[in-house]
Amino acid sequence: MRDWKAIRARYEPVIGLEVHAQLKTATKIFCACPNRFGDEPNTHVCPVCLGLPGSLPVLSRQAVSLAMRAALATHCTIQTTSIFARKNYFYPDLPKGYQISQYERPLATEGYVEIPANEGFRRIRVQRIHIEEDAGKLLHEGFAWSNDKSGIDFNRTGVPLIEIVTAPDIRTSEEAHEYLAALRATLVYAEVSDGNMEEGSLRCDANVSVRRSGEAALGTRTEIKNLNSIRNVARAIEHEISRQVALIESGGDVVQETRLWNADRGETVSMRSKEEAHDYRYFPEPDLPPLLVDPEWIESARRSLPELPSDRRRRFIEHYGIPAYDAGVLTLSREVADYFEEAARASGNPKAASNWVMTDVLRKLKEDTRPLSACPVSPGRLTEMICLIDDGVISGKIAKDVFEKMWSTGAPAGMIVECEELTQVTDASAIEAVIAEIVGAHADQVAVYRNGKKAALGWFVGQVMRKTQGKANPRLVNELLRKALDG
Amino acid sequence: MFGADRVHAHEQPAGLFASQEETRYSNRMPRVTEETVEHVARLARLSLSEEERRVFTRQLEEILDYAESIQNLDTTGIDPMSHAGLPGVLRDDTPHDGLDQESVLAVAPDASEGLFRVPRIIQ
Amino acid sequence: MTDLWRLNAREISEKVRKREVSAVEVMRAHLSRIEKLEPRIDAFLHVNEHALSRARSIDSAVSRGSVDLPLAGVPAAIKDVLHVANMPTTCASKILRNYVPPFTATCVARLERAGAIILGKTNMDEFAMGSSTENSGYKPTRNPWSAAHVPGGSSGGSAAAVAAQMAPIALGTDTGGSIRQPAAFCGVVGIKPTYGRVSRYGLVAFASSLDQAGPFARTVQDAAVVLAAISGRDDHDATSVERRFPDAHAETDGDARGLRVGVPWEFLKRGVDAGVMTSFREALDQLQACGALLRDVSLPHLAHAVATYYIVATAEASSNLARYDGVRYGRRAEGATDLDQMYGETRDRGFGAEVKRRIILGTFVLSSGYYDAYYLRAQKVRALIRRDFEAAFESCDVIATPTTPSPAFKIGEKTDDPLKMYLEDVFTVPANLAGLPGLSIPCGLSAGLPVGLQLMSRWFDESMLLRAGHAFERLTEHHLRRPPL
Repeated sequence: MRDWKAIRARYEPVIGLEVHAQLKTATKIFCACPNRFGDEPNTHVCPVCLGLPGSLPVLSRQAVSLAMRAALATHCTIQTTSIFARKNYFYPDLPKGYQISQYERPLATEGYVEIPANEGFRRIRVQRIHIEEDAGKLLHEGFAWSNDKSGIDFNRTGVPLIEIVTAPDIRTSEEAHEYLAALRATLVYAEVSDGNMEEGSLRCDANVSVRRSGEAALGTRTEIKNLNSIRNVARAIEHEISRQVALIESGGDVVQETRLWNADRGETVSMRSKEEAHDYRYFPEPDLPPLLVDPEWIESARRSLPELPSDRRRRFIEHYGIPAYDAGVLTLSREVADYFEEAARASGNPKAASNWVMTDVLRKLKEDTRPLSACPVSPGRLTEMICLIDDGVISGKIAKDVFEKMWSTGAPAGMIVECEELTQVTDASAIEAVIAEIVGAHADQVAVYRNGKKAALGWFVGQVMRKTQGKANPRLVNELLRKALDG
Repeated sequence: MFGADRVHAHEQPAGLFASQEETRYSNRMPRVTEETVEHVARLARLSLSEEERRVFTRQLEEILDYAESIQNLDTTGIDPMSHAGLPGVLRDDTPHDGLDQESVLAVAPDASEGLFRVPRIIQ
Repeated sequence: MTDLWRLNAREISEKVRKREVSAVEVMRAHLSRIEKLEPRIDAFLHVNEHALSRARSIDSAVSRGSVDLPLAGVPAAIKDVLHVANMPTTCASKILRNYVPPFTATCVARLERAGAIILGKTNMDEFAMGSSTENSGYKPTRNPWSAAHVPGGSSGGSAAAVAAQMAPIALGTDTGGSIRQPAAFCGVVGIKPTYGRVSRYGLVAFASSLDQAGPFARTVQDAAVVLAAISGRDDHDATSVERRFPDAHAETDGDARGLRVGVPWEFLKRGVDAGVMTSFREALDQLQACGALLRDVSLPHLAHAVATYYIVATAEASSNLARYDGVRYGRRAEGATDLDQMYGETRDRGFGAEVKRRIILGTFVLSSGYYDAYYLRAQKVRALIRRDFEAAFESCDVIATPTTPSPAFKIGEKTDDPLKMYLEDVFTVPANLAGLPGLSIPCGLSAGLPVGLQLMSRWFDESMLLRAGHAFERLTEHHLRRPPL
């Protein structure tokens, strides 16, 4: 390929994302079966979610409340009347032969999610949020009979979902990544969803097209499914953009179709003409009266919202004076943000708190693959350590060791410093004694220094620190050395 | 994407329905052909016999001919009536036990190891 | 007392509660009546083998002092589209052969709570689609008045059972006339309640925005007691509502003085059988004689009701019947090796011709390119029809029509002409489209076959229907006529 980058740069990708999020309710959307993941197959089922003859759906109030929270958190307008519709198609994981969803009149419309951009933020518009029910799970592998049969588990059938559809505002795979991270953080903050893509509580389909830069008309889009992590969404989009550009460059046409992402092979694969006959015959669901939402209900949903990541981020920047990037990382998860804020407030040193959380706490958690809830160093303990540094009791360098020990033993910093005698030497006479000894033993280095090579001071500092096992106060060492050498 | 779906929903597979354009503007719906019935039967997952297809084509045509009268009514400004009832009551989020696995699978045409089974779906 | 099957529901309940007769005796009388007549009528698909033991428990409840049972010991026949736990529900379809539901329909449970005893499940048109009960996947039911004639449908088994005195009361369902039309054909009382009055939970759906369960009985008062028992909001049906239903007995004690009866004469000009029209006019005269005031009312969009109905009902049905796919329950065609073959053959073999015809029609009117012209337009015409009724009820309290344009037709007469069969529903479908309550009450005979008078009233104003119906019964003797069995 001759200068692929240049060719690629002539095209502008246009990307829209459709995200399905399972709502954190206790029950399924239209029946009282528990909304629970990972149990024996077909144990959370009833006449309603199995689609037995004579059963009827009854909508869960809590599912609507959570969907409204998601809508408010993404700045959408909630429609006071929305209507459920049947989406008709046959598939063994769909018990009634239709999925109850919303079509022409969704719950919420016209919102946005903010993602970080060059300077500040950029808005990705949300076109609509609607409520629908999840389907069951098909099992194609793992049984003696898997060669000629597929199994079905209906535990997931009827789990409440919201679908969040963006406008085609996304231009790069990085932006798609940012959008998903921000949306997930928002949904998790608002306690709407677990946001776990690997377990399927958050699922993403991507609509991707490319057009020559400067063109107004959209290119033919493909829909990519089976994206089970934020990283895979970005990879799949990147691959699909390249595939489409290469196709057009070689004189071909993009076909409107659904493609499956194969993470192992790192490519998207056409689902062939599987959906040739798709005609969902949407019509209003007669078993469910129109959903009416009054202003009080919307208000109470609004009041139940916590501070959202984008607001909190802005506040961290302004109030604690930390860099935008740091604020972004710290607010991706509500727990991390809470942790940081506690340490920042208690220590009175937000910058140090931010650095310690970003570089040490998050790194150790990742190494140990543990959640923040199982972190051995509490915000209070971290605060204590930051104060020891600020009070000059330990140096920053010693503090790194202290932190490691706090992590492995769970002991407080003060105790570790005391037991291991790590307290900084700030006694000038003690340091002067060490300096005198070193200066006396290295006349040659003293000569070098005095002949104008002031950089040799570093060599003396290193010697002093080695002698004091790093405990000497560096500022004091520098000061006393100069005094001794400069005479 | 929904808006696009709706537009798509009004496109026709070429050649399947005769004189589609004409009907838009003349208020006279097209002849029902056996292909129409076959297409619809496929959507409804009914494997019709040739005889059924032939008879249903004629009968569907007759019925739609009769239903033609509603095409000429003035429905300007009328909201469609999709529900006969009143706004409904919602359900509390309190879980209850449903049916037990054994009884659920007992009425299944084919089940094994806690699962319903169907002929293998080619992925 | 061997003639206990002659008693009406209120009489049975009173005697059982006073312990003048036992529920067991009443049940035995009806079971032997069924044994005797069923070979000629074929009203039942299943007879409850536990009916006698249930009668015994009613007797012991009464002897322990339970008197708050308005239907104590009253045998009730249930259309086979309503679930009774541990009894098969087939909807007269082969696709549900031997299907036993795990729960009881709310309206049936309420009937049982009032003391009624389920006699069995009655025959019907498959999935309630039909006007003659000839579309049963198992057998046709015969009209007790004439074995050569249909009992009407789709609740033909329930209507025939009550007419033949095999049961004093029965439940049916009415989507486009399926209670009122067979009630008229068999000479009994039938009520389609206001949409939402009776829970649909446990009613196997045909067309969800039109379906309502309701009673059959031989008197308006019996029908009123059953309606009172089965009405009310149900947490399992989001479209059900709680509306005050005044005491059934008190409501039926009134007369027809001052009752404004609207008649849509323009709508009755053509296509009504002469004998039916004679009975209808006589009925109006009699209503007038007991104090009612007749009014001409205009319902201009009723001419489009059948077309509208068959679009809306089949669209919903095509979706409601998608669940019969041979995956979770019911019959699956043998030997299918792939999914589409399994679906196609299961559904082709499991459904009868009328059901398939309606699925095809309903799928068609929802399909891409036709939705706006048919389904959406029909929904708008439906709104116009409702508006017609709202306007008409400004000037009258009830609207009267014949229930059907002609009396019962012969078995086999209309099976080859679905459209002709659909036109049988011309007077009954408007109430379903608008969601209104409707009553059919016997008002005479035409060539030896019963004729029904239909009354419709405002939404949730069943009291008005019952009052008018009862006043009519007090003045006439049509409801006392019995078929020559």
